[in-house]
Amino acid sequence: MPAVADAKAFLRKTNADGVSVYSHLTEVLATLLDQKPDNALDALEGVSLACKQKHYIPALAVVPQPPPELGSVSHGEHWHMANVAILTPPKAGEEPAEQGVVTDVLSERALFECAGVGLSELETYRVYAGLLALQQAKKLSQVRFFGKVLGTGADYYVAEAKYESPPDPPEGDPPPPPPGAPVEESGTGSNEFVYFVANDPAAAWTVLPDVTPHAIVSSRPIYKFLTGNLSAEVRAYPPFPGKENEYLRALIARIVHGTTLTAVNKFKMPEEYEPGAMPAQNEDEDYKPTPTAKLGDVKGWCTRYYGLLQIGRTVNPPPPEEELAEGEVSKLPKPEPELKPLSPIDASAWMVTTYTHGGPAVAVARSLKWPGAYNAYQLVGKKDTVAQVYVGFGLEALDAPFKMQPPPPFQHEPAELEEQLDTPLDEENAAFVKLAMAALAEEAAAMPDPAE
Amino acid sequence: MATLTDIKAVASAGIVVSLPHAAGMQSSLPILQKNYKFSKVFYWGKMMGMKGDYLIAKGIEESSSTMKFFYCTDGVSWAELPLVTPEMQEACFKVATYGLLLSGDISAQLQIPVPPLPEGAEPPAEEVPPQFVTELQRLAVMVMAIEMECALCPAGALMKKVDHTIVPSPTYVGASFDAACAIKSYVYMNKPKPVDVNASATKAAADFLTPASDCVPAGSLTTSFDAANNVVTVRSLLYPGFITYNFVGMPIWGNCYSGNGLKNVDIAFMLP
Repeated sequence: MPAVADAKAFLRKTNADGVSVYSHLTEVLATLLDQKPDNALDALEGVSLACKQKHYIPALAVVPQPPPELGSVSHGEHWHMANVAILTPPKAGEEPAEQGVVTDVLSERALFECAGVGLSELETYRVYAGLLALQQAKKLSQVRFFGKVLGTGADYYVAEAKYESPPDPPEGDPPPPPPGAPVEESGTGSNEFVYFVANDPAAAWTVLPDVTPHAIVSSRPIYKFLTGNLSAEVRAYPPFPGKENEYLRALIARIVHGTTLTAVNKFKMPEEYEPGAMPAQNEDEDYKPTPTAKLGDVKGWCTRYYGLLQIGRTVNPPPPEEELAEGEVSKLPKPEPELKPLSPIDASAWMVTTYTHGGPAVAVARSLKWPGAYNAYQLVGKKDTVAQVYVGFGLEALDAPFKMQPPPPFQHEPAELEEQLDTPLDEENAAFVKLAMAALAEEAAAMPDPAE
Repeated sequence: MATLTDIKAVASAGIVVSLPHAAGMQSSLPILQKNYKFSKVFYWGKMMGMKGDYLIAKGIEESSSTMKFFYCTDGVSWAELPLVTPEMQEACFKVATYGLLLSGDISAQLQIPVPPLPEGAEPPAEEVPPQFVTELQRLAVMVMAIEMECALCPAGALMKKVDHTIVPSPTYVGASFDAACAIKSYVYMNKPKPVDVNASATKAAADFLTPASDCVPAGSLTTSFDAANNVVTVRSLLYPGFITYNFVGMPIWGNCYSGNGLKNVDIAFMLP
């Protein structure tokens, strides 16, 4: 019976302590028979462990080899190091560096929590620490947390800021202007703010380039998830002019100009203003902040910035001067009507509600057009706070299933060429004779006059 | 299905529960569990409508495959969602147009459009009364569709007992970092795979669900690691807002949804 012999040999294989399955089972059964517990089956595992214990001598136990040194650090280690660096409070006695205005991200978070959106308290604190470091490093006069744009590979934390003094433009010739409408200058219109992004608030922030109308117009027919890598190609049709950083910047511009709201009456346009002027805080003497309950209705909200026009700018470019003859009609495109700040909002594009439980009431406006964009309003005493946050994939809700633009139509076959008659020989020769005569005359003119 | 203590795991994707809702559910969910004799009750997520939102809870009986859903707007007063029938699904399918959101009013009704008569057919002698789908039915169908299509669990976390009840596996101790970050180490909780009679006996009890790496389209699930909480989250791009979380090295995992309940039908154009 070789099979039985094989099995027995296998079970008798001993480990380093000289114990085999066979000897262990023998010992367990002997113990059970010796002690005869009432619940022998339940006690089996316990007895088995106790028997194993007898053969284990701590002093003789072999210390396991330390794990081999891995070339890479363990997961999350970079993250921990970066955060420890950024979360270390300044030492006592050290003068705190001059500070610009960093919005109170933590108290804004509490407003959005009512609506069930936002980051955790700890993550928000880390964002705040990151924004402070960014403000110090880049000398910013104001910094706001725009939100978190989710990507397939990594997410972007986005900070909206203004420089104390704008950085010098890079030396050398300026790049040629992109096609489309002229770019709005830094500090105006869609480039009112400069945006910094980071995959992790403790890491270095990268500045996004100013947005061009061409990028905004080109981003509209595209519907792509972001990857989380700023230098990734935007693989779409029609091709997007630029990498993901420019695509992200165009999306941010569309979100900011499409979803930033404020309370009616909180801001006022100056009485006389040029196109592109921004509304200013209402400083009338009889100004009273709006009660939160009024913002439970769409009529309590209005837009904060200019909307983006079809040409990808917030305002029409100044028309180039052209002289028109009488009766001639201008061929320039008609300027689009501007989407002015402080305009009422469309009730079908917003979900507006108030949350009255848990402290002072909070009014929240959620964009249905840009899922993930939220505005919150709270009035405590005489202080009214309006805040915005965006957490989402950076894409708008479409009205109809996405349709990719078709490629341009095929080129048609060229028209048949018409057959021409040959030029008669005399005419053809006449041309050559003429050329030869001209050359001869020139040569003769160049020759020195023999008479001189 | 997430427990309230683990909900912080999905905050990295922007999903939080407000204090009034969380506090309400700490009391209302155990009562729900007692009244319906559930073995467990979870917070399932939030369905956002045009005028209001619904919180959804999920109760499971002994097996995690027998479930009931509940909705409420305040975190306290739960009501049961109707059982989804094929007729209901068909009716909802007929009214659904692209991007049609829930209204936020549970008593709202949508009329089912009457299909045009085929050419030459006689109009019916009697006027057919218009048919309606209620928001309650739509909500139930949407929640069920999301649960069936998206809910994930780490492979090996559930096991099938001899009576075919599905219970958490006592031998599952959690996934390592590398395993938790790989889509192939997740399975669809509600998609049993065909029984393989040749499967080895040591694996058959735990390996009975479709792996998530079979997701269609490929790439519609992405993982991200939240170092602060030591948790890996799996996001569904097919139902944006659906998230599975899995604490590294711990047998703690769950799913949570926060969104408008619509399937992303444009995904074919959107993957990078």
